[in-house]
Amino acid sequence: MTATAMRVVNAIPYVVESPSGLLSSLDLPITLPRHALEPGDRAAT
Amino acid sequence: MRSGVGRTLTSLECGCIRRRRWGATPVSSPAAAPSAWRDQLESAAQSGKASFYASGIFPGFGSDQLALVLATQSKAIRTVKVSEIALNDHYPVADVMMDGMGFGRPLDFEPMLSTPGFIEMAWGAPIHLIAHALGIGVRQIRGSLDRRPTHRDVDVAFGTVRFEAR
Repeated sequence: MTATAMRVVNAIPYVVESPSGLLSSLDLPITLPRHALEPGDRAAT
Repeated sequence: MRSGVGRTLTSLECGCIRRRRWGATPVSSPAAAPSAWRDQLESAAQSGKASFYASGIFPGFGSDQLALVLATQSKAIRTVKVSEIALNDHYPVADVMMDGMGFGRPLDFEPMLSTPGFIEMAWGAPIHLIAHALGIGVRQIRGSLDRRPTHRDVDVAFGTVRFEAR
């Protein structure tokens, strides 16, 4: 169930930036979870 | 979805769902959604300068987008086969599992899934989305429902699916 919700939660920034109207998955790029990585999980750069 | 207008869209959508007892499935592929739904939502979105996106796992990533992502590796496509195999033992909503799908009910019980046109509606949006993405049309969608009895009691989140000796 979490994954179901995350599909749209992760899409929020992309949907907000989209033109007005109805969107499908074909209208959006890959909706990557830009801030999902916990700080401790980030590889050292 | 921009703030403010989202509540309007949600209300419209919920109204459609209550009247038809259908989920939001068709809206995941707006081009294939019933025009009455699509036109209301599109009008509300345009007037409120809102963008609207509906998705999930089914319909959504598992039923259409994953197939399309995998299709990006294809040189030629003869068939696109998408299967939903779900472990629903954690899903606690008895109404959906029992009256909607028929789990825990006798085989002569008619769940919502057996309603003529329901399966076609449920799979319609993913099928149309895949077809549109691949540049083809949909001639027909045929649905069928097959159920089997359990051979033992199964404890799940919504209760117990009981084995009944016949």
